[in-house]
Formats: sequence, structure tokens, C-alpha cells
Amino acid sequence: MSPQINDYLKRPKRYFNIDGVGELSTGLMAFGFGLLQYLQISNPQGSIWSSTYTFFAFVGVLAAITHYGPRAIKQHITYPRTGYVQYKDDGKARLAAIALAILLAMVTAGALLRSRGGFSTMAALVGLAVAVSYAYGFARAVRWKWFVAIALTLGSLAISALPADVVASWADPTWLNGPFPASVLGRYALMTVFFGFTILVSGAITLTHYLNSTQPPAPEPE
Amino acid sequence: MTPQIRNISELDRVIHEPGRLMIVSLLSAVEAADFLYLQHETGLNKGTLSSHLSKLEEAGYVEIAKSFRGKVPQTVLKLTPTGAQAFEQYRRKLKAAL
Repeated sequence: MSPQINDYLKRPKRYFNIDGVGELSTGLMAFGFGLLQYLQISNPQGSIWSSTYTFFAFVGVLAAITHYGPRAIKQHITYPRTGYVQYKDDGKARLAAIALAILLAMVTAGALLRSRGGFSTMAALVGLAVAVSYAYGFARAVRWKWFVAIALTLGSLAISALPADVVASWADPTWLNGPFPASVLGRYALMTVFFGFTILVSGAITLTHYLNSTQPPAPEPE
Repeated sequence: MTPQIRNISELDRVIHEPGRLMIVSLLSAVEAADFLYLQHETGLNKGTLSSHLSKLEEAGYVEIAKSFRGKVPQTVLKLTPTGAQAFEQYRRKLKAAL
């Protein structure tokens, strides 16, 4: 009985991504940031894409889409078909997750600055961390998403193994030197775009499957 | 009477019924949920779900609020503090009994 109770206790968390909305917003965010990074390094340093205003405008647009988009999908598609859930506001857990993410980002940036030769190893580790996070967050609930987690792992390993001149080939010459040369930024841009695209595709498949397998309940006869 | 049997005999009968146990388990993990969600997750039909919810409401374990989402009527359900406490106690006793 107890394992069944535990299963029911976990269901609401799984329900959050029943329509793929969790993946769509995560994927869009990653794809957007990867795209911005690509636009930055494929244009000269000091171009409009590298300006702080562009960055904040880009982040603002992305944040608005990832905030209101999922709400609209939930409101107009998910709630009328399979019901509404109001989650507990776990503010402390959210703050802890944000703090952990910032700490991880700082540690990664610090490690990148110190070990210029180990950039590809670091990229592979970042890729594995993303794949593990995806597996924990999304794949545990749905079996086929383990293939997505495997694709994320293999893809990040492949990207981290690409020769430096290949990943730097589409960068503007002004980005070839500096603490983060084009070979490094290019690799991370490619990896972020890859993650975003893969997770977006997974989210789109989930949403399509949800739309095909659910219908709003028929209205009650008068 | 062994302590295990005593624990089983002391289990809350309102919660112990499988249908109601599913409902209370689901509601304990969220702030609130609507009737449609419970129906989707439990697989119970409308009549059975309504009957279970009425029993839980009578026991003071569930709060039922009827409202409208646009023009669509919506029944939102929430576990009361008494319900949450009873569920915790139920789980403790069940664990001790097994």
C-alpha cells in the first residue's frame, strides 16, 4: 500500500509536464540563450548583439514568452482537458535551487578561466550535468525520455570532442582572442543551442501526444 | 492483541477506503486541485468521485469550493489542516502496522 501512496504523492509533480510545457519553456530558454551567444560571436565585438541593452531586451522577451506561454497553454488546453492543479508555493526550495544554480555557474566560470586547456573536458562535464538534470527532472516520469537524456549525453560529448578550429570557424575574427576565445564561446553556444533544440523537440512531441490522447469532457446534457 | 493488529484496527476508516486514499494522497501533495484533475488521476467515474468527496467533506478532511473559470463551472478541492493531520497519522499507523 505504501509504495502506491508514494506514487500518488508524486503524481502532481509529474503532471506539471504532462503537456510538455516544462520542457518547452526550458528548451526555449536554452535555445534562446544559445542563439544570442551565436549572434554575439558571429558578429564583431561591440556589435549590437554584444550590447548590454540587447542582452536585457532579449532576456526580457524570453522571460515573457516562457512565463506567459506556459500559462496560456495550461489555461486553454491542459486545465479544460485533464484538470487544474495549484501547486504548493515552495519558496525556500526555489531559492535554494536558484542559489545552487548561481554557485554552479560561478564555479564553472572560475574553472574555465583557470584551465584554458581543459575547456573541452569542462564542456563535457557541463553537458553531463545538464543530461543528469534532465533525467532527474523529466525522464524519471516518462520512459521514452531516457532516450532524450542519452541523446543529450552523447551530443554533449560529441560537441566537446569537436576540434577548436571547427567550433571557432563561424566566429568573427575579433573574438579569436581574450579570456574566452571563440573556440570556447562557440562550443558553449553550440552546446546550448543543441540542448535547447533537443528539449524543445521532446516538449513538442509530448504536447502533440497529449493533444492526441486527451479531449475536453463532453458538456453535460441540459 | 498485537501492536500491529492494534495499529491496523486504529486506521482511519474514512481515509482507508482505496478511492478516498487516492484522493487524499493526491490532495496532500498540492495546494488545491479541481474535480477533473482528480477524475483524471484516479480513474473514478463522476458519481463515485462525488460520493467519496462528500464523505471526506463530512469528515472535515476536504474543503470544496465551487466557482467558474470563464463560463465553465469549476469545483476546486483542498485538503483541510484536519485532513492533512489525519493523513499523516494514517501513514504513520500504516507504516507501523506493516
